[in-house]
Amino acid sequence: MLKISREEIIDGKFERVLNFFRSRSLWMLYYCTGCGAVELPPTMTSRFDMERFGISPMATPRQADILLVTGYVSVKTLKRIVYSYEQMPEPKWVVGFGSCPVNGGIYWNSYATINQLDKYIPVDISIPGCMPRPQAVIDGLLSLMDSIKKGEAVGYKKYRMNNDWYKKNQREILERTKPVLGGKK
Amino acid sequence: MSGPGKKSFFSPFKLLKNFLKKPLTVRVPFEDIDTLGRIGASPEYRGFHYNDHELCIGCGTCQEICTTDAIRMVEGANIGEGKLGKVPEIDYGRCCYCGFCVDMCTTGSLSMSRHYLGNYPTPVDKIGNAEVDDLKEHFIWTPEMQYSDDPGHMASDDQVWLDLERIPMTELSPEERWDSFIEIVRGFTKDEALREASRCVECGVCVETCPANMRVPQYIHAIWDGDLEQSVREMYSENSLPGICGRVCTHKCETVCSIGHRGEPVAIRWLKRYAVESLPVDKVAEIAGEMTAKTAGKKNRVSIIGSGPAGLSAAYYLAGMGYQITVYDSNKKTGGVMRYGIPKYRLPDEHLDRDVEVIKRMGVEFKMGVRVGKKIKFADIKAQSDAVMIATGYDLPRSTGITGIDGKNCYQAFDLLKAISAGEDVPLGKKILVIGGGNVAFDIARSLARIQRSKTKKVGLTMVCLESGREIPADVEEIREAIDEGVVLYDGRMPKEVVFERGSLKGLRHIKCVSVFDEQGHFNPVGDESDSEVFNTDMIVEAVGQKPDFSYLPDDAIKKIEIIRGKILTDEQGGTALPWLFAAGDIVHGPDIIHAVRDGHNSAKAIDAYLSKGK
Amino acid sequence: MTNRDMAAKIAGGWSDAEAVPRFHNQIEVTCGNPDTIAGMLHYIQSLGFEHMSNLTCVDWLEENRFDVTYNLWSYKYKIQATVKAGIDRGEPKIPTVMDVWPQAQAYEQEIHEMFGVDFIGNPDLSSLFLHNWKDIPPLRKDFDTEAYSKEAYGAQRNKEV
Repeated sequence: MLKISREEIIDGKFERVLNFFRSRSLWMLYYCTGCGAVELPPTMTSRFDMERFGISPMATPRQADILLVTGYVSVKTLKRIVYSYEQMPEPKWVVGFGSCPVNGGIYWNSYATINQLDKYIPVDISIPGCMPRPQAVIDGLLSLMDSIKKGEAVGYKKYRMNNDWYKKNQREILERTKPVLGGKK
Repeated sequence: MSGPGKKSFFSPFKLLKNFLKKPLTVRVPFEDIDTLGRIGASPEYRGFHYNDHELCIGCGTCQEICTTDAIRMVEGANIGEGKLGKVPEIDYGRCCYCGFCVDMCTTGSLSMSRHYLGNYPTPVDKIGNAEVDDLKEHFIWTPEMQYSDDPGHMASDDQVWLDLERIPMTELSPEERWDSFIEIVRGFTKDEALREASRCVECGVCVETCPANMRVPQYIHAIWDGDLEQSVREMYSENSLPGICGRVCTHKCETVCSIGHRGEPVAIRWLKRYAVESLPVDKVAEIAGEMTAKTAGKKNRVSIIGSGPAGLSAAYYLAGMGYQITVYDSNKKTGGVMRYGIPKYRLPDEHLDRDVEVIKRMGVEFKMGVRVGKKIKFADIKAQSDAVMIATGYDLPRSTGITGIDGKNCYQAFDLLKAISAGEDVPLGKKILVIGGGNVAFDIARSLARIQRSKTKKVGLTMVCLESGREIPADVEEIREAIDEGVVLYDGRMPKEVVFERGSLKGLRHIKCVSVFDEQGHFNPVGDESDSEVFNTDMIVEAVGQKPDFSYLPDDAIKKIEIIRGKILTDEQGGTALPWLFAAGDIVHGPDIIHAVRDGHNSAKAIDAYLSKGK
Repeated sequence: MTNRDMAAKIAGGWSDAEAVPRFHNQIEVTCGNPDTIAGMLHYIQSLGFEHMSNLTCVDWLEENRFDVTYNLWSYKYKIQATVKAGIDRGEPKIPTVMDVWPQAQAYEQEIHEMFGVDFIGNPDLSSLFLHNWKDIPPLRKDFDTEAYSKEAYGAQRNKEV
């Protein structure tokens, strides 16, 4: 059921021209979910000045291109992240910050946080660190710009084409009907 | 500053000076910030790990301390003595870069670098679970030296979390000990033992190295818990002579101890001694008795020749399996080389007797003072029993074979040690010369020096050995303690002949020794005749090794079993070419007490298998 | 007033209270009858403990008991009082103290969520942090968080135990 081929997902020539301009003007949704929030002020403001690359914070998902998931994601946050992601207009990209979105990080055995973010929404780039320094954030965003230019940052297309799979995973967690541990007491 | 309303006409132009200032913005990635004199992250930055696989021993302490379960030990190429063949693999989807693993690393092989960039764009052609797994596995790797060019947080001795210094052991000073046979080492007190036990990281490197595979981490943990009974229980599962091994074991475990890489190894031997010594002998016997499950209905008789460590060990485990054991020994008392070879200042008789007592209570029958081949024929023993184990050890002295060595006032160390142990009078010269540099040579030298000092208040004892300096085969502590006690060491000399004058001993002519081993590593000493001198002495003691005595074995048995260089060829379990005959101890593996204990245990298992097969 | 005097005053004025002075400025008060906890706290408040700085709960699994714990502070006497009310773990119920300190509402809501303690009289005990929670309350000692994470989110251990 889940199949994807490079041909159908990589952008055509016309899209690629657009992609070049898109990559130079990324607006990000500054919706901070975890510890990574503290790394963003220096990244955005004059010290590291993200706007040199055309990346600037945006208040609402409806005008944003990138969703930053800055750290661990609890179940309650995941619901909001999915809402926000779905409200963003395409093309849109997701950046996973640090260890937690990759494999749970320090909260891997918590009852409240998910382990792999990529199961629920498509992550386009992962930045290692706990948390990543502003330099690493910029490095990651530059790498994302590069992927966008080449048309390889296609998470939103995957989400659209395999919506059932993502929705199934989200529902499993968000709309649980019976106890996970079998009602053990 | 001028106040409001008093602004100068030119004040807007002050802005212009900002053009000359260095901009605040750091133009990453074209430049980076300067932290404490270094470009980039701070000098002690904790970034990606790197691990020197040549140093890493695979102890797994990093995995144990990891707070986020980011480390897994995987198969590595680091094999060898004291190495477990494992290396850490780090999951950067878990790692929180706290650096505990580096602070805890026992060898200092694991460090962190100042590299931290490593973003990963999700691959285009993967989807679903494959994509999730790919993302996860991309951030899991085994750190090697790829990031070592820019070191950050490294293991340093002033930040280490391990306790690198050993709790000092109380010993008698040379003045207190040099004229008597009082035991030198006092042993740990409870507090000292607890503190020493707390230094262990329970990595298990020692278990692999110990010939008897003793469960060292488990019994040290039990000591640390204050549960000495459990500790002794763990010891008896692999070693039936823990009290003796706690004193005189060659402690190969401490040579490889992971703490020993950066500091002093854990005093495993003294901890073992502490645990056994602290319990009364009845309690130890009770624990030893419960360990081995008695299976009723085994009527087989097993005879063991020799009551040294291998014989005692086999007797204990076989008795525990329910067999009828008879131990024959030519000496009056049990223990063999442990009683008659090791001086009392290292192993007092009462502690030897404690371990033997435990084995006696298992129902083992001892026939002492019976020399097989003389008082009783080997064939009779064979006829009485279903299996025979020989553990006779190295019973005969070896000789240098130089001219005149069998003359008057020349003695063999082994005979003298036996006499000293039995409390008999030994001949004593004023200027004694001991030939040899092994542990036995030091034992006899120190024993004779004690007797000399107690009788005449003066020590005149010199040792001559082939090897020089660090090559001397005896233990370093042994050499240091001997010198403290007044023994003179004359190393790198090769004895040539014993000089007699008018029928009485005058001295020993010796020459300079150029090399001890040849290129193939065989023993082949080469001397330099131009550097020759005569050492005046009135008594020579030879201590250059022992050899086994197989004269008690019948000829047909000797023909069938293979003997190579004085050692019986056996399979791994101690079985010989004859199915009912088993061999263990020095006659199989050469002299080493802990090896003998292991051999005895192995042979016991093999004998059990052999006797159970018939049914 | 020292903590010793204050302890004597608390124990003397309320028959179910047992007060023990601890260290230099602390009092440990044990409530003998949890059903009257609101009245007792009202009495202690009237003695000068105007500030409830925290309300929490301790799970004693072996003793089958929850200790609902109120941390009080007196600005006047600089004394800290820890009031403990032990309730049955099988059927955890205790009256609300919202009438004494209105801010207790949020604390009680959280304890209800994390330990499953029922605060009688609290109008809103809805979920605060957890989303659609079906299992036993997560901060109870018999809740295995790792097993939950494994089942629910596919967490895997790296280290073999």
